[in-house]
Amino acid sequence: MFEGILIKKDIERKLHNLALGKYPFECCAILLGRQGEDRIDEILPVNNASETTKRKVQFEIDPLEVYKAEGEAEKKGLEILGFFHSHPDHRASLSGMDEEYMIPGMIYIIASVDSESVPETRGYTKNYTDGSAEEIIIRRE
Amino acid sequence: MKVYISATLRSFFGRNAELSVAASDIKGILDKITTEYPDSHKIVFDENGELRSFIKIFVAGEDKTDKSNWSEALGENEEVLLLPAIAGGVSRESIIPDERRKAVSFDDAEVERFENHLLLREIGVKGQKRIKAARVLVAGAGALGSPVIQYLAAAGVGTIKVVDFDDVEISNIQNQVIHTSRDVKRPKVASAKDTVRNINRSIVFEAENTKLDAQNILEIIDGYDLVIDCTDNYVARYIISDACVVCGIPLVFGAIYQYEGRVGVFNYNGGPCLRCAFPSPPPAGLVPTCAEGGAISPLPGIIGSIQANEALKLIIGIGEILDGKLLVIDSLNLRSHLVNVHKDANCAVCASNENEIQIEEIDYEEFCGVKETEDEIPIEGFTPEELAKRIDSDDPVTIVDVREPHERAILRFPNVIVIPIGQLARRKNELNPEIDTVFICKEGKRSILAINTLREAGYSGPMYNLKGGTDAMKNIIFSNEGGWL
Ligand SMILES: [Zn+2]
Ligand SMILES: [Zn+2]
Repeated sequence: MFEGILIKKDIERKLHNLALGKYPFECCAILLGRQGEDRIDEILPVNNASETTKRKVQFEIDPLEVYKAEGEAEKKGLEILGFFHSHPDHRASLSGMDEEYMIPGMIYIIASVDSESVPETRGYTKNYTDGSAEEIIIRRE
Repeated sequence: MKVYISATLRSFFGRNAELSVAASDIKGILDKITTEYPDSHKIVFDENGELRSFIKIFVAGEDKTDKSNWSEALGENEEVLLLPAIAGGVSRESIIPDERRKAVSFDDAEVERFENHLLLREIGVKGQKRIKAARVLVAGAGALGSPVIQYLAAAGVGTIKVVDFDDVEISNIQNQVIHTSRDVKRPKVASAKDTVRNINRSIVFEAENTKLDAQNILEIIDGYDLVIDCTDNYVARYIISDACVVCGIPLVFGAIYQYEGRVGVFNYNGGPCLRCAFPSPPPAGLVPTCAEGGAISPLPGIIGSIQANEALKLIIGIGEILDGKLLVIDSLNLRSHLVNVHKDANCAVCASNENEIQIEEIDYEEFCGVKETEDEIPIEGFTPEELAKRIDSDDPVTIVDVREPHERAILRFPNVIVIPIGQLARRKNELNPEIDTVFICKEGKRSILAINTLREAGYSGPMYNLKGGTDAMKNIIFSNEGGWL
């Protein structure tokens, strides 16, 4: 049974530092782990490929970067578990656009970030059966 | 032809990384693979047969996702990639669904009336239609309700329901600018209705001359898009917030006290509720309610205007929302700051996974230790009539006034000892335990706190409370025995 996603402290710190470093723009990263283990082992920061004027409120990952990343991950015995992105000066709740682009079964972590802190980090996934998005538990260790 | 399937999409294609497909174009490829793996069809296409936003098709390193490329003939050795589009955004969305916006139309007079909104790129016709389609509930037609109701009406909110059970009093006119001196003794909702009619007759104004309680709250707020809390007491604030959680309606909260005001948006997008921010109200005896504490005239105008502004932003779907934040404004020193409000993972209301949340009124006085509990010695009190008689009878009695200086300035009580609550324990020797001592405040609540404080400090003399405070005394003082004051 799926009991949420496990994020180790150092991984979460990396995600937060990425979000703070890119503030006031949205950052994004690919989350890697091992199949069948609901744990994030590595993060791969990627470029926010959306238009410059939209980067404060949008993110986009170049599909070819995902292609490249999954090839490299496979060599290390890892696979893509999901994606991370930040919401500068907004809550870490799922926007309509976030939801629209979610792939069922993948894990999406969102962090709310301001100029000095990351007040909120939440996780979501989209249901296979009815395509509805739901919040998942983030377990920290 | 070989089609590479991204690892992120593989679970829909039997976990295969590569599929061999006999097709000559993208359309053929998509048809074949979704037929071979039927589960993938609803993942790749939406209900209307359109490719989902998160699917990208690349051929020889080029994005060929757009349908116009789908019938281009592909070479036998071309590399076709089925990849994910990973994207998102925080674009604000309106709380008014598109269908309701589309059902609204404007006549020429309305276009003229709302010109200033229509000119704004972020509002425009779409935004103004959302405003017209909106159904907003305002709880309280007092100090905060005054600017809120008037700005909502002026902005063109289609349906405004106002709940308030009070009548207008002359002392309201100082900061409840929706009412005028001519409205004194009329129900506040009736007076508010007249003002709104004068602003725009086409607004549907629903007047509810009722006191909100745990029993009626759900029925009253159900079916509205947004609730704006303009009440002045904690009992109402908590039931309003709880009911908003139950009905899934965002809440624009506002509160004022003396020179300070607070605004915030609760229960929006899965965010915190009022109880996450304030699990319990401050002790009743220590913080006078707005009615007891007073506020500078323009303060509710400032705070209420921000509430109305947040409400419109939620309706239009623009801007930064005070969601998960509390804006605190100190009007005396002109300072403001934002306080982050976190969702409480153990919140009894918004984090509850019970199917039915019971809405209960907080027992405010008990909450604050002011109410007499059974094992406590009951506090005896005088009614205003009894106290007046006692004063007339020349029986020795000490009266201790625990009101704030500004409250005493409004209504002087002669021959009293003035001791603020904070100094009572220290100054108990000023009281004579041989003589009955009566404690007075504005509403008869802080005086109970005063008696409890002295008891705790070891004072043993007989103590009495003036029931209902100086408020209850007003009629007696002014109408019957004005002479002795
Ligand atoms: Zn997002
Ligand atoms: Zn809560």
